[in-house]
Amino acid sequence: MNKRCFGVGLALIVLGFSPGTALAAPITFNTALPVGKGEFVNRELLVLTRSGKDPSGAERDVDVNALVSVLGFGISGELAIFGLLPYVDKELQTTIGGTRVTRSSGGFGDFSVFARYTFFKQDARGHTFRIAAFGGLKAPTGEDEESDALGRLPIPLQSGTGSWDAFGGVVATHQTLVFQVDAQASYAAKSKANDFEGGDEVRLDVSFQYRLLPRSLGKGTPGFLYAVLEANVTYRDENRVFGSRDRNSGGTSFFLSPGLQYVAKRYILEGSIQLPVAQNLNGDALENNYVARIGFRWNF
Amino acid sequence: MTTFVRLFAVVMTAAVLYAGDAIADNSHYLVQVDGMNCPFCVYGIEKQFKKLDGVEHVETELALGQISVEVADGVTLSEETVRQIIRDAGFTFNSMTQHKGRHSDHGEND
Repeated sequence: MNKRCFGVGLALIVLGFSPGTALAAPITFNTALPVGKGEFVNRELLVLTRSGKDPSGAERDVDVNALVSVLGFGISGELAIFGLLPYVDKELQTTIGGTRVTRSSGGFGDFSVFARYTFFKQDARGHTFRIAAFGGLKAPTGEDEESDALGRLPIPLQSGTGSWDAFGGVVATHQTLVFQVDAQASYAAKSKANDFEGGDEVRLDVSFQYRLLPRSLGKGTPGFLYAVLEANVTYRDENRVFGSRDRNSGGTSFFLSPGLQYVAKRYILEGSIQLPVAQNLNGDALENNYVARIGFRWNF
Repeated sequence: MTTFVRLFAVVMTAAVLYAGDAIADNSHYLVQVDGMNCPFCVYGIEKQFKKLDGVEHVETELALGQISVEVADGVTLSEETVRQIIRDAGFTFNSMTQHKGRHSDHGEND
C-alpha cells in the first residue's frame, strides 16, 4: 500500500504548493510583475485537492487541504524575495482486506524561500512586457516522522518531506489595461531523505486574464474583475524508494483552471478550480479529481 | 447697520482673496508612468509619494497612466525624486509637469 501511496502524495504536493507569488497575477503560478522596493505583499491561499479514480483496486481516496501563506518583500524594483509556508491536512482512505482504513496527518509543511529578478522590462503607456528568473529552496521544516496505528506514514502523507529541494524557472508577463498573459517554465529538483527521493518535475504554465469589469475605464483607479483561464502541464519523474524506481509514480498531467479575480488597490480576491484534461500517469499512480483554490492578497 | 454691512463686505472680500491666494499657491504635478496597468500596482507608488514632506494628496488616473501629486504652498518635487520613486516601484518614468492649483480645479485630464 505504501508504495502506491508514494505516487499519490507527491502529485498533490506539487500541484498545491507551487511557488506562486503574491502579486496581481496568475492564480496557480508566478508572475514577472514587480513588488516595489520596501513593500510587503501577503497572500493567503486555501488549496483543496481531491484525488481518486484508483486504478489499483484499493479504492484509494486522498484529500489534501492546505492553507498556504506567502510573504513577499521588494528589495528593489527588479528584485524581490518570497517566503512560503503551508499548513496541511492530509487524509488517505483505502481498502485493505475488505476493511476501509483511514490514515491522516496535519501540521505545518516545508518552508520555501525564493528570489525573483526581473532582467528584461519594456514599459509603455497602458502596456508592459517583462521577463523574470526565479529560484529557491524548500527546507525540510515540516514533520516527516508522523505515525499512526499502522506505523510510520509514507512520506507523501507526512506534513513535510524531510528533503532539501531546489526549484527555479523563468516567467514572462505581458500586461495591458484590458488583459494579461503570463507564461512560466520551471524545474524542481528533489533530493533524498528517509530513503525516499521524489521525482524531479518540469512545469509549463500559461495564464490569460481578461478584464470583465469595468467595461470601460473612467476616472481614478477602479477595481478590476478579471476572468482567468490557466493551463498547467506537469511532467514528473518517478520517485525512488530505497534506491529503486517506483513504477507507480510520476507521469504527465494537463490541467485547465478557470477562475475569477477581483483586483483593487490594496487587495485581491480570487478563486479557481483546476480540472484535469489529461493525466498520463505511471502504473497505479492516483489521479487528481480537481484542485480548488480560494484566497486573497494584500499589500502593505 | 451700514457699518455692519461695510464690515461684513470687507471680511467677505478678504476671505475670497485669501481663498484665491491659497488655490493659486497650491500646485500639483502630473507624473506620467509607463507600464502601470492594474490597480494593485498603483498602491505602492501612491504610498511612496504620500511619504514625501509637503505632499497633500495623490491620485492616479489608471487609464492615462498618470499620477497627480498635490503639494503644499512652496513645496517643489524634483524630477530626480520622482524618477527614483517610479524606478523603486518597478515601473518606468515617462514625464512630469507642474501646474498651479489643485488637480481637481483643472478638470478631469488637466
